[in-house]
Amino acid sequence: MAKQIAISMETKIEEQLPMDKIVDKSLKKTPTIEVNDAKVWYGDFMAIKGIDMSIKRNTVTAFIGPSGCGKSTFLRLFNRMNDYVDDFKMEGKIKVNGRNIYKDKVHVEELRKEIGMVFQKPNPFPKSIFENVAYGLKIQGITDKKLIAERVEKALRQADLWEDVKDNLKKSALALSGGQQQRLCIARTLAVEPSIILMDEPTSALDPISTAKIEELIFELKEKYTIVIVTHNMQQASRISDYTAFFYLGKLIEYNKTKTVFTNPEKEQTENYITGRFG
Amino acid sequence: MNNLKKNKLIDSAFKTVGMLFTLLGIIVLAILLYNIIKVGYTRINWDFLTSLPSRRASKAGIYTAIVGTLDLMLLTVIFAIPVGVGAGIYLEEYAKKSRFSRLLEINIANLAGVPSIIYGLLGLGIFVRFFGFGGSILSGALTMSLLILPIIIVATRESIKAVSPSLKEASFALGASKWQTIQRVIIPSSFGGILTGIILSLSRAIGETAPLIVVGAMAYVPFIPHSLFDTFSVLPMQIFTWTTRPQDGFAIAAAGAIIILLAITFIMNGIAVYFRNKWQNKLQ
Repeated sequence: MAKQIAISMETKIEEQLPMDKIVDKSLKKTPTIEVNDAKVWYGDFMAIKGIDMSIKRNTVTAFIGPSGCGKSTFLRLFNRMNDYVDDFKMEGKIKVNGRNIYKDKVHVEELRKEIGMVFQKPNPFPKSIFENVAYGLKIQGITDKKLIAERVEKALRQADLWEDVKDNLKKSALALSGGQQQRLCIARTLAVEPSIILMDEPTSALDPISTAKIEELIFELKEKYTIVIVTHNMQQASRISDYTAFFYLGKLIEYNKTKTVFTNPEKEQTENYITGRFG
Repeated sequence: MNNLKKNKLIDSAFKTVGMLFTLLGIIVLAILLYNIIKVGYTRINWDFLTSLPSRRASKAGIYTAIVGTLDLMLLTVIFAIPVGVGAGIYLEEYAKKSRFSRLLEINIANLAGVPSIIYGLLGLGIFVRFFGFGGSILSGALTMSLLILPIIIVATRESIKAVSPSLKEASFALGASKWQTIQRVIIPSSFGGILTGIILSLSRAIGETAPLIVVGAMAYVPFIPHSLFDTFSVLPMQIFTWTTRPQDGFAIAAAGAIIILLAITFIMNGIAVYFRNKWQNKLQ
């Protein structure tokens, strides 16, 4: 079952949009995230050992690598989620839409409206479906009920969840299935209207059918958003991403078009990893 | 005897012993209740509840003690809850993990175990003498607040700790500030636990006598307190005094007052449990 869906997804994507074409187009656009010599320490442990990278607008970039290679830490630099970790220290420059986000004058709250995040485990609030999606709007001080209702509906439609829940908006979000909960979390992120969405292994807690739905969704969202996704699933990276970055021991080993990384990797380490020889 | 059999035997033996110990607690409580109700039920009537204390046992009532107890609890709630919950939130969410904050944590945990009479002496020194509030209901309530503060702080912290970090992350990732996250995610999710802590602490406060004796609660107060600076009496105080009297009538009156005190405690707990369950159902 799982295999079938995976295969059909793969062929579907390739039929619709030849990979090279998208990549060439997006290359001309300005990068949306630019990283300059980023280094991260947790206490004495150096988790990120100097990474340069630029992520292009309206693309899907996948971060792959074995556990503990720093890919999640690196992802969380972009919306400053590491700030809450004790002993976190960072050096280097990260520009998001042209702004250095680790300068003191940047408000993290503002930054996170620009960069949404979807987590590994679906984490809806113990509130109603509607309240979950409206959360990001309400904390911005938006009180116009009509506007909130419109944005909630739009976000739920974008996340392909509207048809499932439109009659039950007042029901607790915890009553939804795991896959629906994750799509709710995506809707919650979309409602704030960010330009970049970070996803930290968004399908690792889901069954294959829900995974396929999320992947389809990511593919649709690419038109409007820049998506960076951490994944442990090699097939997933090759199915949905335009670019793939391979991390190992806190370093960026290889970063290229997904097709190149998976068919003709430059580095031996990358090849060993994607062919399953370690990791 | 082989190992498997031995383990099974130990298993069932522990089960039986555990059950006996559980029953022991319930049986003792039942006997206690039975004895008190047997002695005291004759005094439970409207007159007993609405009469002022008296030298004659048959005429003595607990009106001032009930009103004093309720007033004291109300004031204690007003003083202790905002401070206790606020301190708990601060320590859990804002305070940096430093040696100072660890020292603070250990001290608060220790304070929860300090004997209540020590709080009475503290109250006497600070509120009665230094601030000059005298042996008033205000001094009593402030002393009680100090007494239950550590319990509320510890309970608040524990229930905040139990909130899944992934919910906090979700809130932050949507652009919420720390206070918005506390207000909209952390407090609603930990409310049940905080409420339980408050109930427990108030149940302790309602039965305390020692600190109030030191602070200056009276056993014989023939009037209702009209201001924060009036003297007052509370039910445990009344019970304590009556049980020291030689006349039989006062023993019966004391039993009656104990029934009322227990009833107030049960009602208070019942209301709180009701609200807690209602809250939790709303979240599900």
